Amino acid sequence: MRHRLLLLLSCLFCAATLLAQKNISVSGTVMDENATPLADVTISVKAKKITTKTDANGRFKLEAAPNNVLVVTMVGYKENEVTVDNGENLVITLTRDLKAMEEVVVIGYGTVKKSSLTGSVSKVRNDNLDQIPVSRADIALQGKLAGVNIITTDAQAGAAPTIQIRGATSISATTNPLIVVDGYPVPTDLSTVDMNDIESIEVLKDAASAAIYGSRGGNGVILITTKMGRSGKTKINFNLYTGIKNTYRRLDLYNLDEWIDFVQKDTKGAPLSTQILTAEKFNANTYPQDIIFRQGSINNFSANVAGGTNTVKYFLSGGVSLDKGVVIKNNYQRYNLRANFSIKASPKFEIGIDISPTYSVTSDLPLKIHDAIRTIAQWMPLYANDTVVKYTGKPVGSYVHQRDFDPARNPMYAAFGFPSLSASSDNNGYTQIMGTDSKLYEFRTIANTFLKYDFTKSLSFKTSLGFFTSQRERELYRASWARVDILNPQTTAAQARANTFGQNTKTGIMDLLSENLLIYKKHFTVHDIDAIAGFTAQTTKGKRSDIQANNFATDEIKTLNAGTIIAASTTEETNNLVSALFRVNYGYKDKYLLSVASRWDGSSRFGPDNRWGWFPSASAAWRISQESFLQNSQWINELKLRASYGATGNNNIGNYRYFANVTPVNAVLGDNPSPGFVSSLYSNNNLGWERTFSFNGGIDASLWENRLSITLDGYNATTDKLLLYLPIPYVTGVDGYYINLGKVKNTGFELEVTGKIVDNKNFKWSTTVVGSHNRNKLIDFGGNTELISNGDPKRNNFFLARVGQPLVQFYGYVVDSAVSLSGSNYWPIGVAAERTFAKDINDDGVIDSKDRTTLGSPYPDFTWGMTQTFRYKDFDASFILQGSRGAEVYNVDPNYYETQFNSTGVNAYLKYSPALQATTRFKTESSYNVQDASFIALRSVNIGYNLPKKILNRLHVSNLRFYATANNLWYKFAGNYSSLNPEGINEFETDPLKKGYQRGAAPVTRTIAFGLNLGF
Amino acid sequence: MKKIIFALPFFCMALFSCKKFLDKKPESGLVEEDYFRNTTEVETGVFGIYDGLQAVLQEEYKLTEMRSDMVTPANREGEWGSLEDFNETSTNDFVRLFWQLSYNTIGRSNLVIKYLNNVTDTTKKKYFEGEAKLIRAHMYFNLVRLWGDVPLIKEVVPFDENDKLIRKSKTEVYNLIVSDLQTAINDLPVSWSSSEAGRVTQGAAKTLLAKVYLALGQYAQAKPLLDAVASSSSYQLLSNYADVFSLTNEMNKEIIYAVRYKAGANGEGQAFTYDFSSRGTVKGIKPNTDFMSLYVTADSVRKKTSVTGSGSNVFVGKFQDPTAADRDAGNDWIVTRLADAILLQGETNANLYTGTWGAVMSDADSALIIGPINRIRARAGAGLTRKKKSDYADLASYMNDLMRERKIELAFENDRWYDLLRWGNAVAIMNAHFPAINRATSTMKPYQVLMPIPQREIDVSHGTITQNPGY
Repeated sequence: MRHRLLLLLSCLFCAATLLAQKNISVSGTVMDENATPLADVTISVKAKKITTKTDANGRFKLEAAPNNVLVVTMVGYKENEVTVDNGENLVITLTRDLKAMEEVVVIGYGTVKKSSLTGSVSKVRNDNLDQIPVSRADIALQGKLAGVNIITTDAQAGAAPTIQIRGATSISATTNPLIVVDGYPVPTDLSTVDMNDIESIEVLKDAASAAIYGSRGGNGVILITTKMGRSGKTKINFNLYTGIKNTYRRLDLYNLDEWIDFVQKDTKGAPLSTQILTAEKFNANTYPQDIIFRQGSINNFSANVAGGTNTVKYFLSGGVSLDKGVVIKNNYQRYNLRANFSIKASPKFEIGIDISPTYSVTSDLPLKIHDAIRTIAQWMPLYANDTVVKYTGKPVGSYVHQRDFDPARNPMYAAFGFPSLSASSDNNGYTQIMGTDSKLYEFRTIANTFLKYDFTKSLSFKTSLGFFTSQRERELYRASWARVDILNPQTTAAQARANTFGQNTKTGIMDLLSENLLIYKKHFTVHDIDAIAGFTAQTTKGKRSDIQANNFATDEIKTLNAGTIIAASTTEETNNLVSALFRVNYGYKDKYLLSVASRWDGSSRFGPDNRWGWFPSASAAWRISQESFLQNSQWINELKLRASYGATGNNNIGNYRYFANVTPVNAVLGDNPSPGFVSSLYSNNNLGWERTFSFNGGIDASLWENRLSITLDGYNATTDKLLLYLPIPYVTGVDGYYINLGKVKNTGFELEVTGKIVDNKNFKWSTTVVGSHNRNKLIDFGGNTELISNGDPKRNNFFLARVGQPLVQFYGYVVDSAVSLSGSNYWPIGVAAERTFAKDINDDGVIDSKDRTTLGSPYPDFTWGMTQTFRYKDFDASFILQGSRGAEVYNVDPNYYETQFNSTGVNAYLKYSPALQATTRFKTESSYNVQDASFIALRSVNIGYNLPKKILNRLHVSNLRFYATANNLWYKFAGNYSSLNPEGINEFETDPLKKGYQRGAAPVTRTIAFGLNLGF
Repeated sequence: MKKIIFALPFFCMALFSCKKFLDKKPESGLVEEDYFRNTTEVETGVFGIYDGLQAVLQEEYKLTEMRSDMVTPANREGEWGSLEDFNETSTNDFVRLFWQLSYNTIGRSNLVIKYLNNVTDTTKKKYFEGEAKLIRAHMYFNLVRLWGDVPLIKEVVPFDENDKLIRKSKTEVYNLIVSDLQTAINDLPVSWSSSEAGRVTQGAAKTLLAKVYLALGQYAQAKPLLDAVASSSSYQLLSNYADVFSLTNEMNKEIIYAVRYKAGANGEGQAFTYDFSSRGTVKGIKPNTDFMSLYVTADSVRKKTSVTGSGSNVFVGKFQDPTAADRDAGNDWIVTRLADAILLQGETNANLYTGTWGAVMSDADSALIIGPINRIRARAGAGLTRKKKSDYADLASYMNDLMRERKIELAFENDRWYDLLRWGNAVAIMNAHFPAINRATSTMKPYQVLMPIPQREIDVSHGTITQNPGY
């Protein structure tokens, strides 16, 4: 009623002013195409100096004459002009401006419009990525970025994946990309950030883009931008989901009955061995995998508040992630907070602060999966039952161990005259897992402040000061019963106590960063200049302490005060980095674009003779679509050619490597340790930067009203002066030293295609496909032609680095034919020969090291990802497929499941003549263990239902969406892959020359969850 | 614009302090250019050599005791089994590790020798030189016996001088060993204070040099050295055999040279106690049945100490400590002790004997030749082997007794394999041993008296280090 009255009054008032052709009061609302009010829209009166902005509800008010024209503008929307007329409750609609490709892309130390980009940068926005039921942000990115290979090498809950951008560029330095969170280069991985807080992720792939990060850009750079509030109505959002997890696949291992079937077929019905006959007495149908795997769960809850005014913007969030792994004892919990603030203190002054503390607790498996599985015998019950009690004397219900069935170690069992059944372990894996607590507590924070001052409209200065800290504490306690059996008569209480073990390891990183930038932005008629120049300094201090104890008086107290300290040590190290940088982006008529950038880095990690590195780059682009002959094209909206060349570096080799380091050791002289020192003998004052020079060429095209967009990039990157820990003969006294030596080349292409296949009001369907191919080649190995590295000396297996070929290849003998078990006692279950007949590759009649050959490579030929998004009225659905093709993995698991180091498997070959024996080799040094690691995974499926607006309004909420989501709902393994996770390259991760080795990797898990989004 | 100029000094100041900012030296270590400047610092380098020895002795038994006819790992898995069964290849990890650790210890010795001139205390300088050279000679002596020709590194060499890394003839290696040990005999003290017990002595140098001469068949040179050690007041046979190995009686009067360990002391313990026991990596190291059958009633004293358990459940009893934590026991490894020197004395004298075997020896000759064996047996309560001086028809029959005596007295102390190499009967003994323990599948080929050179050395030296024949 009151409204109507007001309306009437204002009408009268308007009419009066109209007659007078004087200014009248104009009011109205600005909305987008979906009738959502738009805040912060600029409304100005044409040819007058009257300007205002819409409020949080999209409303505005100003004074203007009825014949005046209002110009309504907002970034990202098409400009709209409206005549004032009577000025009553104008409803102005702004439509999104797609043609302008106004999307902004974050690059190092700044942003550019996507259309002005000259380098190769991939971007993903957080479109429901926070609903993929995985507890880490990096895993949620799988399959989304071309040329960025994110691999779940450790599928345990909470474990970080490995990320590689555009192939391996280094040998002794690590190949992880640099992670930059809101401008802060983080000296560790991505665990700090909750996916719910992420706005977008950009990846700098070519050298020209990454050169601004100089010596750390060689492996590519991942830029994380977290969310920030906008001026307008305060928005509150909740996202929560809950789900269950299971192993995707289990190993097909024999149980006793199946083994008996196999043996009888293999021996054509010969009498079974006494071991098998004895084991049948205890046949408990134990399935080791049922004991160590379980149904896991995942629960995620996050809430955030975002908003602001014209001067203050903020984003506050909190989240909890509870991830219960599918392997017993494996859990991950994370609690995170974030506060992003920016304040425009005066028209020229802006200050801001981002703080993001994260606390996580990980409880991990103290044993690798293969050990856990193989040490629980399939014929043996886990707890003593009546039969076990009868033959072994173990108390009912106690843990059963294989050694209870060894006459040499159990007199009671021996009295029955049975053979030893103990084959693979003293203890079963279950007691080792249950008796060992291994926990990692981690507290991480990034706190970053900035101050920005605008000297003029085009020149400003920004200085930021921040720190990153990570405090990790690993606690380990092994109980007296974990590895010895106190119920065994041969075990004394003193021995059990001696087997208790406690360890407390603390690692702290304290990183300080100061960045100072001058920013210049100017638009003159047809020229655009965007330039920065800056100076940064970063210092990283790492501290570590380690205390170990044993002889715990009781298993009830797990802190080290209850044990005898046997070892304690603390160490610390520092590295410092100083840099100067500049970049100039120039655009002519928004048609010809040029960017020149350079960074100088000085690092304390390198020798005084080679401490400073220079990393220049240049890139250019031509927007053909801006040329007059294409400007009016009906089907080409954007066509751009790009080319870039630049240098980046890598300094990931650890600290103090150029010195001949003298480290403390101890010798026992007299009754006490005497402190001594030993030297690494060789120093190298020339140790310096590893440099990657890369050329990148690309095309961006957007066609048919932006219904189809394509980005294609090709690159050729050469890394020289490789940081190499060069192995040298042991006879020198040491095993190697650090040197810059060698050259590696990576060539490849990347494709990103996005198609809006259907784009109706009610039904939308879009597809994004990313694909990449990379070829890696070792060009120069410091004059050497090849290097053979031994992975695990206990089960010999070889990696080959050979000039002219990929940096890493598996190397060894080719399996010719199997060594049969016949004549053995076929024990334990699933046993197979440890050796195989090897192929005489060079046909010289003998099998020797010359018969070794390349067996495959850990690098995929092609990796791809596909995202499909559907929207039908209030329903939406999306899925992400990811695939990798052509990589091999060295999977040593069969060796553990098959031989169990038992004499049957070890000696099977001995029945052959000495001449034939000489042609056998260990399976581990042969192609037997090299398997196809290709896979296709349905990384994400997400189906949602948005409550219609009508209901939402009644509930006073702005959006409410229910969704079902899944991770790895479907996973396709390669035919000859025999373990649980082809991505599980879980050893030698830090040594690129031994890439691709897998041993007891945690299984691929399938997660299904349900969740809801709620916004106010 | 003025404001930019205002910012510039900060920029310059920051750059100016760059050099200091970027000059970072290790906080938790030192760098060689700043160290080994004086007596105290070089002495820590000497202790570093002993640290190297601790690692070597934890591996050596796998290549010597386990490979010989003495013991078998209870579980012959992987590399353990391949050494035991003479199936080892050039990539065997234990072979590689022993080689690496030996040369690493040699490198530590060479480092001390490099900085000897910084030692101002002349007495200590002699000691340091003697210690470095004795241990270097000990390492080369092991290497030359196990591999034959080996690279001979006498100083810290530039890593890229591959021509210095080639294998040198056994003669050249032995020349260095002899000269190093002669220097050590001159330089080293007769004994150290109890707070330094474990540092090598003149007696150790003499015993080692005598062993070197015996390996070269130079009995006359060995004799005075052994006589000196055996008559030295520094050493005596303990009356109780078990006391020699007692954990509470380490560095006793019988020990000439031992490598020391300590349990629960920040990683100063050793792993062989664990691995010998049934809890160990391969469920224990078991004396072979043919060795066990050597024990007659008279040997019960030594049997009781040397082996533990019974029946099929017998394990090595020396160096045991049932209360030790896994891989962290404190038992020292005895490199050589007086009983070893005394038996070598007998062997030397017998080989130098110019009289007629089978005829009656003079009392003096009998004391020299038969006396040592009897001395050892008497201590062990095993009775005397021979009372009549004419009982030995020839040197071979005497050596038969001596070999048996060494086998029992010095069981599991890393002597057997080197003894077989010295006596030249390794192939014959091993090929008789395998049938005796019903392992017809194993044989020792003649080339296997030498170990394979680790494949890695051949690969990373680009073939300048060559392989032994047969591998």
